[in-house]
Amino acid sequence: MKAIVVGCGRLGAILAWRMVEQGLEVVVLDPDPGAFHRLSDPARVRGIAGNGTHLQVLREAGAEECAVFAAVTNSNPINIAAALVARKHFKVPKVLVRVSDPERVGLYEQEGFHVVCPTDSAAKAALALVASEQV
Amino acid sequence: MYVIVCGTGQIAYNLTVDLTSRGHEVTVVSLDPELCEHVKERCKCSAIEGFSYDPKVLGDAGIERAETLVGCELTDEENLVVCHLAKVLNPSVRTVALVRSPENDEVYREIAVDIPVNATMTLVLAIEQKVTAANVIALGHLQRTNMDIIGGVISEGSSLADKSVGDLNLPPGVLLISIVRGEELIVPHGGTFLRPGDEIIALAEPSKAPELTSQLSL
Repeated sequence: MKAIVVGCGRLGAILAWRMVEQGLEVVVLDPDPGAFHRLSDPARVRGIAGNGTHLQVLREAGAEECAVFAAVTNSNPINIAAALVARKHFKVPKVLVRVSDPERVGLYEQEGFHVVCPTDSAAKAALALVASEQV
Repeated sequence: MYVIVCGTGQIAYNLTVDLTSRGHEVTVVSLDPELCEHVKERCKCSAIEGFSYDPKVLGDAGIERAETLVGCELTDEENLVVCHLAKVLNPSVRTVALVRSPENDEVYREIAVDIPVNATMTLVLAIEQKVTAANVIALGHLQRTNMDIIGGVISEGSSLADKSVGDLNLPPGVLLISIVRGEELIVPHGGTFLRPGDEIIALAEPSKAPELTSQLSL
């Protein structure tokens, strides 16, 4: 099964690597080729230097046969734009998008995306820890 | 018409000046506080400082009653995201966006941009015309059918001069609309003769424009 990860920052690099460990064939896109050093085993992940919202780059990455698409750069507009192109143009079945603002999670979930909000996830994790301490 | 203009910079500013001077109601959404102050003062319109692609900001701008939203942010991605968000919040809004990368036109139209305005191609065409043929100009472009409206003057020695419209042999995909001779507007028919100095207006597929250009001047 093929996966595309847009953004090779800390989150993108870990996500790509975990996907490889789960047996997915992963391509990572980042405009800065220097970002690929974050991948723990670059030999097992294909990195393409380019903008993950551009049709040509996405085609080269195999968006047409891709089963999972994750847009996890640190820019909201780039993530949402990439996710829209993946879903509406390439018809990728599972599209994951990172947004920074917890208030936008619901809106994009309604649009059919799997939404990841690191702020929200961290707050929930912290709250769970606080709650378990209290018991 | 109620229009929301999203963006920073000269294009957003001048568009707002133009729209308000024509009597349209405009709200500007911009990250640039100076732009917001300027348009409030000069155009007497409202302005909101914030991210245009934030649902709360678009809500404050009155997206639910807007007829048109124009995205002229700095990047194509921002414009796509704001147009998509606008359609989610108000499906009947018409979206116009500045698109810088020509390859994005088609796919953005597919997703959420009703009218992509391709800044790069518009400039390229304008410059190309100045460079290649001063006597032929593009008067407009029909988005839906992808046809150009072209105007041009028939020069002495043009292969079209002194021929009747019926004998013109225009390239396929080119339709003659009218002829302007001096002050007179002529609706052409098969027997109308073209003369040097006549200005013709034609509808043409964009790929046929160069052929028509060379016929006018040769």
